[in-house]
Amino acid sequence: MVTQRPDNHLISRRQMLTRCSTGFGALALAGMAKPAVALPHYRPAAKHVIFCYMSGGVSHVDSFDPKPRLNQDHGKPMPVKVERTQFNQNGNIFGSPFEFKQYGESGVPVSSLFPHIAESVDELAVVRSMTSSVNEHAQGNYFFHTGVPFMGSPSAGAWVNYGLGSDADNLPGFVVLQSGDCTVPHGGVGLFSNGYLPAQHQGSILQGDRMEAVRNIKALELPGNQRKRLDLIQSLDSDFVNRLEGQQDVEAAIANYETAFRMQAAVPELCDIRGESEATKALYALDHSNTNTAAYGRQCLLARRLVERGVRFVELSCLAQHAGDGQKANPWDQHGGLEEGHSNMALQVDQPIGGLLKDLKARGLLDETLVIWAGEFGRTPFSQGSNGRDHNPYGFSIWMAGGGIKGGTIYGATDEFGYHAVENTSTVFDLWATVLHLMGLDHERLTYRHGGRDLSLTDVHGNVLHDIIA
Amino acid sequence: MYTMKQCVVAVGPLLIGMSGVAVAAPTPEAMEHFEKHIRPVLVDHCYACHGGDPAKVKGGLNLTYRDGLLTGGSGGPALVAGSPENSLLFEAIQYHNTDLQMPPDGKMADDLVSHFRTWITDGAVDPRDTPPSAEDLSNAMSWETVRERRLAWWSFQPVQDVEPPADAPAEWAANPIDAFMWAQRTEAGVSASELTDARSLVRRLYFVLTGLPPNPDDVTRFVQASSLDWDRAVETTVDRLLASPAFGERWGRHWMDWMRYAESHGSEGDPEIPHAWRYRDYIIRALNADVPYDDLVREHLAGDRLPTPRIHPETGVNESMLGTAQYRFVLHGYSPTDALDERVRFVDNQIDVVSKAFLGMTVSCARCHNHKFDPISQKDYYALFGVMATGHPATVTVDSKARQEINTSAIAETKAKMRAVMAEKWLAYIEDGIAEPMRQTAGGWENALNNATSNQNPLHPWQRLRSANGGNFEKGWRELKAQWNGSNYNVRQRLETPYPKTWNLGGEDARAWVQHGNGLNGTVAPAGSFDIRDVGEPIIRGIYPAGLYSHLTSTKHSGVLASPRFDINDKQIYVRVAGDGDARHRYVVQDFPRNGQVYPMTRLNGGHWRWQRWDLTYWLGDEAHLELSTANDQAVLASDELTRSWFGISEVVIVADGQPAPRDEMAEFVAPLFAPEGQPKNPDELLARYQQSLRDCVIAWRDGTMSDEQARYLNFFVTWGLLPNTAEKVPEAAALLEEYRHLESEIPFPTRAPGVVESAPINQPLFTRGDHKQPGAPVERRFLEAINPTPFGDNDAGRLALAEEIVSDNNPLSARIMANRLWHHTFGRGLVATPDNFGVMGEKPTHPALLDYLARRVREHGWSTKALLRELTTSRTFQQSALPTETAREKDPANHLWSHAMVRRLEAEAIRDAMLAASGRLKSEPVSKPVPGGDPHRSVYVRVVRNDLDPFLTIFDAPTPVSTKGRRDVTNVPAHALALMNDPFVQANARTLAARVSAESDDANQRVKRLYELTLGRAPSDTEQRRLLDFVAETSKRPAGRELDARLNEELTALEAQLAEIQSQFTSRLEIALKETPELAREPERKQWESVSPELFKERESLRARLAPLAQLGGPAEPWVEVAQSLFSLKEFSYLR
Repeated sequence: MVTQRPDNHLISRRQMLTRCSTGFGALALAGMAKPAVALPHYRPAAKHVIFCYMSGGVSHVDSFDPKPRLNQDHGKPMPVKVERTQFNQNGNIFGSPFEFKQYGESGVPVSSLFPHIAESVDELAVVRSMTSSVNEHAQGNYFFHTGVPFMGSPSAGAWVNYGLGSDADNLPGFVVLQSGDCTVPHGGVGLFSNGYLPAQHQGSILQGDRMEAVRNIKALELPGNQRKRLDLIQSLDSDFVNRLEGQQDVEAAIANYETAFRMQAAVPELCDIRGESEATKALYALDHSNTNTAAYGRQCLLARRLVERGVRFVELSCLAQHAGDGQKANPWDQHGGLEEGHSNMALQVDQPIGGLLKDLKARGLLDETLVIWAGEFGRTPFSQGSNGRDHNPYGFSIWMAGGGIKGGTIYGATDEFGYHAVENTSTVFDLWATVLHLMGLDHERLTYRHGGRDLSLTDVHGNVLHDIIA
Repeated sequence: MYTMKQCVVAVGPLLIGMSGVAVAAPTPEAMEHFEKHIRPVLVDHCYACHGGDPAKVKGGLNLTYRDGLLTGGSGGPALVAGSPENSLLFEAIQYHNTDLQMPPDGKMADDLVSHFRTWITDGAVDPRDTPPSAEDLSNAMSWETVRERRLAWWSFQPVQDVEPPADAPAEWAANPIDAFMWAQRTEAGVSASELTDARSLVRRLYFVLTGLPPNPDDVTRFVQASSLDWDRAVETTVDRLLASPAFGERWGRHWMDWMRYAESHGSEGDPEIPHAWRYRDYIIRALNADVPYDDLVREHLAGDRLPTPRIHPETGVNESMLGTAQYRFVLHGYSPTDALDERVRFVDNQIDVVSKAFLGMTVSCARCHNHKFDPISQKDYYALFGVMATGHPATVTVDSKARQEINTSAIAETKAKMRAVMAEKWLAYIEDGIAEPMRQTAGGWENALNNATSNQNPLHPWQRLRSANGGNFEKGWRELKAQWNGSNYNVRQRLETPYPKTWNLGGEDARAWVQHGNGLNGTVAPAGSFDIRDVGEPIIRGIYPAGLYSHLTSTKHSGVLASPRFDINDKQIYVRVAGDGDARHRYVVQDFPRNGQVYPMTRLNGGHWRWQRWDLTYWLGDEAHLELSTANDQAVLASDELTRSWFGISEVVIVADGQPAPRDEMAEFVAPLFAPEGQPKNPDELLARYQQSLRDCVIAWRDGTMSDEQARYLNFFVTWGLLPNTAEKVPEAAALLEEYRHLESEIPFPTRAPGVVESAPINQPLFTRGDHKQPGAPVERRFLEAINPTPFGDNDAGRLALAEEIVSDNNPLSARIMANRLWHHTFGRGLVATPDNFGVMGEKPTHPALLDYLARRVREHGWSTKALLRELTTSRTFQQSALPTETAREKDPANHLWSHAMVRRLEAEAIRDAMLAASGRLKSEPVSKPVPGGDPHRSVYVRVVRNDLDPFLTIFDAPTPVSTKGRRDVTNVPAHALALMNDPFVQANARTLAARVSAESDDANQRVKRLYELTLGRAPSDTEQRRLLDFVAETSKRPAGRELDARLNEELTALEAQLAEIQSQFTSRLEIALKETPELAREPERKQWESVSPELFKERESLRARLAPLAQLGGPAEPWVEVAQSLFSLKEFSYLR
């Protein structure tokens, strides 16, 4: 049986406007960028997701999972079995070079890498027992985004939009932000793919500080001229449709011109942040002397602006520590020089994300916006070479905040070395089951038939992490 | 499946069991949840103990029907609907209570447990209202019965011998397809549409058969011809199009969809699949040549195993082998730490594609358990796994045998003559030429002696003792002799050590190794084998111990050598190898073809022998094999450069902990000097001993009776030039050398392609629940048990046998699959709407009789693609108008009855190609290397790089290459409109098209007319003509853009600044790069950019592309460009009607 979303008979004001403005009647709806807003499975806590993806893999034992044992036994051999690592250059136990401190009323410890995020720690639920089934970047990225370690399946952002529909006018429902020297994480744009879901749910890359923020969005002509041409096209097209006596998909395709035309205006308007106050800009560190921090801050600010405009799912992209240092696709991947590398990376994202949390809170948006902070895996408690850490998918930390999350929570635990998750072991499927749940969607019922199977984001896995839900 | 009635009945008793819990009637979702997640688990885990005979049911608890659960057994009710916490069943499966844990053999997976929680919480919906009979129970639990039941599905029935309906009126009787259509439509009371107009039809024919629009002359010709004799015009056109080279480019692309064609492997690094494009060209050629479909299936599965492959008459390429490239279009991960997981995944993809493409079955659904819906068992999956997984991924040599062996035997003869000439020369020289330079330390001896510090060096005794006298000499000799004895002991020790595994590649052991490429001819090279340099000096490059060598005929030859697979139980492996020219050597874990941090590889250079040691500690417990290849014959790391390289291998030893490591032993290098009886007393006697040993060696070499020790010994003197080895010193050899080099120069470099090389067959152990860490019993290689369960036997992996099964008359699927695929691509929707799935989850055929009729025709036509397409396209059904009739609109709005033609969007490639064709930019000649998207070649030649798919084609639903795609998505997204409005590619074509029509005529009316002909294949209507002319007139009055718009100006300036910034970033990076690699300065600019920063280069190119038209905005308005672009944007342009 196909689990299809029932058609929603309640048509929003926006949809009515859309219909009228296209002039092609109800048939056009099927092909709109903005599908009918679906009824969620149950009452949602959150309406939007902001996914701060820490590509490359942040060290959990240096950020949100303090392990005093590592510092005590620094330099000693690991007393437990060491699993295969990607580089096989395993050293001894490597104490964290960063200090941990408890913050907020909850007293959740955060390392000195993230002082700004720590200020909002009472909003955070830290999951210290996340695991992944793959140990490599591209597969890890795919696994984290789609639940399948290779290209071809829908990204979580696409699933959310498929389940709920977009609530945004003239903007895609799933936006991937980039700025500065950013690139797509290993694995390529397929990470943001709609996979087998309808194409309107795919992620659109938006380069907020570029002239052409979205591919082909920049008209190379005056809007008035283009309008005239579109009118010409539309008049000729309607002849064609009339001759065919109403072919639905053709009508839908024609309607796309209007949406596209409006997007051309909506995107620059979104990216134009001149109207934001100086205080806001400072909150997001847009004035930061470090250009990467400022660039990431811009993404954070645009994320808020996207959420304000109804975009369901926004993913942010980290920048490499240094321009052209070969780590653009995996900026957190410090196989060597961990202390310096993680310090640089944290400097880039800490104040902007901290600012985002505070700004969302201040504007009353945090309640309906789920912020996720995660990378594809953590890092080993023992060193790689002398001062780096290898990948560790067996236990690592992610956190969530806002949108129905019980703040100030620590969930799950790794062993005393931070090597393996040992308590409330969680999976990426649990994470997405929880996210979908908070969005009002039952991860087992959100399915799509493809290749003879009913597929879902969580496959046959996934349990909602009720303990971190408010 | 349960019926509606059962659902309703289920409600009553359920409510009784639910104390106070208000639950609504079971929803379809709840029923589905039960059927999908609960019933199979109960059957699998519980029925064995809690079902059947009441007397034997454990604890009195019967779980095979609803009341059994609610009544429960000795412990009380098994469940309380609505309340998992109060349900014993749930308590048991949670495994929390140590006294109550079920199933007894271990806790079920968490997700299964959570399904039960959901089920009970939601009211424990359960349609099983009576206990099953014993028979029902065994039926429910036996796979054989399940399979037999499922075999009743339509697609498994034999293809019926159906006759077309005889009573169709004349116009529907001529083509049997029409007769079938007529009958079904008439029965439904739906009338057919008229034939379409000639212009629409010719456009339809061109796009369907060639993927290109007709040019205006084609249209005119068809309109004229069809007005005289419609049927004849159609037939002539169809024949012409089927014969055109564009046909293969169109239908080849369909095949590429079915085979998930790609030119890179994806994932981190996204490495190229070397020579993937050869498959593309192969399938295009094959379709143009109308190679029968059954042969193509054989070639795709086992083109390398065919007794009489197809050989291309001009290139001499073994065409059949190119089909096997499809195995290689898999995704590969990057340096996976779980190599078996990776292997299972890519073999899974091979099974998935082959079974979907040729059988319409989703066999890969049966990896973890028997198929949920179709008669396909988990064993079927592993039977096919063994067939697919036996091949090693490789870059293979695809030249015909004849081409591979060009001059091989002539060179062997020349070399035999060379051997005789050189031997004679050396014997003479040893007799009366060698003593003098040896004594004088002249003519190359000085260097050689200075280097002779190791006792493994044959000159070492001479170096030490040549000036010694009397007692010193004897003492020195005794010492050396003692070392030699010691070393001999070591060699014996090594031979006697019970190593876990040794392979002597100079002997019988070599038979077990897989040899591929024309450098390896399947036989072991005996000691004394030698090679001649293709250029320069000396003549003989080396004389070798017995082993396997890739270069004894030519260093152009290719070689891929693979050891048998072995389980890694020991940490060290030693391989005695030599090679040059960047030949590669590695151990391959679980057939993972890439290299990376924990997948090391070594390059062989310099031609020296060495013991390559591999530490396998990391991979203990995995399976591996050793691989050697010439430089460009690795599976993934190969380049398409034509370089020379070679390798040789003589021994392999796997060493257990505590065992001595093999190493070079003195005794292996100097035996001819020390082995003979007696001892020299002084330097003169030693010199004589050298002469004697060399004489013996040369004679043994000449006579082909040499030992490995003699080969190493003689090789030393030959390669150091201590025996004459140049044309100058051996004038007798000059002519032979020239002969060799002439013959060698005629040898072509190999033609390479992606493929697999066959290794020893394996029976894949079934992975319990699909978990690769739980191997079960091996499954014999065979076809699907539902069709033919006979194992293939042990001769080989069975790839050819599998192909034969697929195309066999006994397989009802394949001809239907093919007929339906052709129908789908001709008519826009298959008779089975899911061309990749003929199983229960797929659609049923709308016209089963017609499908069977066509499947019969497929075989009657000898599987000819063109013959069937000819029948399809000459049918009246194909030629109908797209306008539905009144009855069709009413009774069959979805057009299942084909009463009219389907309006459908063109594929991405056809849209792109049509723009190029209209503008006149299209380059119709094929290319070999894939081209970037901006290139004016046909889209089938645009590169398919997985992590960087062409954005324009992707927007219009070109597939992401991950699995078989028999039916493309047709999406409607604003990105289409944005591309047509703003994409530089579209604009470039619009400009060219505008220039074309502007150059042809000054008359606006003419221009409009011509534009319509070129883009839409018809004349504009009066209204259209007027609209366009008005638009042109108005646009022409428009003032220049740049002056008008301040914002535009601002943006232009910013864009220019951005470009300048990129340029300066590049300059500073280049400076740094030049310090490391000064050669870079000589490279062309593009290469410099790409090596310094491919990202920057890409960005610059895209910026430039954006800037060019923007910068022109300051110029005059270009109304004709706008008109041209508008026409490209019309739906009529991208839809086929």
